[in-house]
Amino acid sequence: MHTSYIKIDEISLACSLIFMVIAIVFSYIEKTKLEKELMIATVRCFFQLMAVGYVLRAVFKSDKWYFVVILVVTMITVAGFDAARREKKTPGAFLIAVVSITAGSIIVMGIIASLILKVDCWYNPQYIVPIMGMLIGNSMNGASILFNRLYSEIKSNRDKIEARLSLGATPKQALGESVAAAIKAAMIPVINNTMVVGIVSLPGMMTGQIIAGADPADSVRYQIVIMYMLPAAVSITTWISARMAGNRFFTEAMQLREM
Amino acid sequence: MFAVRAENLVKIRTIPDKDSNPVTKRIPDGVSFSVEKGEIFVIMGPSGCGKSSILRLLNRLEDPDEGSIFYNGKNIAELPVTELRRSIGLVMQIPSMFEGTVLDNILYGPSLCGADLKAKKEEIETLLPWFSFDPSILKRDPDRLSVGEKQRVNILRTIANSPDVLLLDEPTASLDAASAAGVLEIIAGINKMKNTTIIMVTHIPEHAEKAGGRIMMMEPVS
Repeated sequence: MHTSYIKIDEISLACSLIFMVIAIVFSYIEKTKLEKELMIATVRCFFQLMAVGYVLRAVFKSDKWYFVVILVVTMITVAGFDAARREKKTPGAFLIAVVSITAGSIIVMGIIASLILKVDCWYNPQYIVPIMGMLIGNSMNGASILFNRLYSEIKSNRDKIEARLSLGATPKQALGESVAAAIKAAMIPVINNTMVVGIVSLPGMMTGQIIAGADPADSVRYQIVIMYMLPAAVSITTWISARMAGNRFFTEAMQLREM
Repeated sequence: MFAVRAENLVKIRTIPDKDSNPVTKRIPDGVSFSVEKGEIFVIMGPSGCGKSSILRLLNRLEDPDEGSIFYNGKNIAELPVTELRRSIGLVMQIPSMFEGTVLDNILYGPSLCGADLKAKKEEIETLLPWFSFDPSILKRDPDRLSVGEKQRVNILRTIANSPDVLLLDEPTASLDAASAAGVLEIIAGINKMKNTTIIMVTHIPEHAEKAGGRIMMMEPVS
């Protein structure tokens, strides 16, 4: 087993631009007009990842809990902003996304750190940062899909929801079917990923560990934990998001607002 | 004391005009009426005059921008909403059926307030012949029923809550003559047997007369 890995120097890194050039050329040939977006994505990807690389190096070196907390809070804030940006029709989506992503990721991270990894130091950035990144990213996608689907479910089932209200249902009771449909839609991507992992795709964390020289058998164990933790985090996030967002569509007198 | 009293009801709505430009209108515009307990009260008028809006205000699916509604002398804005909606039950014009069987639909309201569902089912079974249903209807998928059958299930679902006041929004509008006559008979029967106050909205003069109660005419909105 190799314990070292091939480092990518500046010239090799520059060579990787050839892949983006291929995509841009195809866009030009097919007249999809995605050249500008691809160029922006190339530049953004480079600077964002380089910046995060240096930030992570500094956080790892400092070994201070508050730097890890600042990093996690920033990740959650950006994730909340992004989930809310994709769905503008849900009132208060940013706050809902931040609360639900925080709850989903922190609860699951707590279980992993204390029961599975049994880390000595709760803020050990080597584990906290990458695992929280995966939890927050997947929770963000879940919240975003949930907001989108819940809004369309309520809009298209307005008659049914009002029929339930007219019979004495509370908003929570009246939204039962819509919430279930929205949570299901938000959970499907993460369930599908869990189903095909190892057959159709080799996940990033496992691949990264293998390239870094880890024993594939150990990498697989990590990946199994990762694959199991994601549905839990997304479930918690979407459950909280659905409850909080659902209420925003009703008045205090339990009337469905105009949409 | 009146079962229901409405004073000067106004709801301000923004609706598209014939050129699809949004215009603000008062629908209904200053409507007042009183209905005695056990009375059948029919609201008639052309489309868009605010008949259905009045029923939505009475069931508190919306609140008026001006005016007040009193139920047994109390302002409905001060009553618990879910209890009010069970007491002043609304049968919507287009029946929206829920997931599950016909029985699940009918027992939906009682299940929300912890009623004895076994006793409620037995009560519903005694009402089935009156609605021209046989007991097998309870196990059927409501989405596979005819429009007339759905409308009767819709009425059954609302009266399963044992409301004091039954609001019916155009209950015969989409039915053929025979089905409409059947529904009007059911409405008259509910009023007679349970002394339920009926407030029915219709735009069909014949059905308003057949309902056999007091009729209030509404003017078209200008």
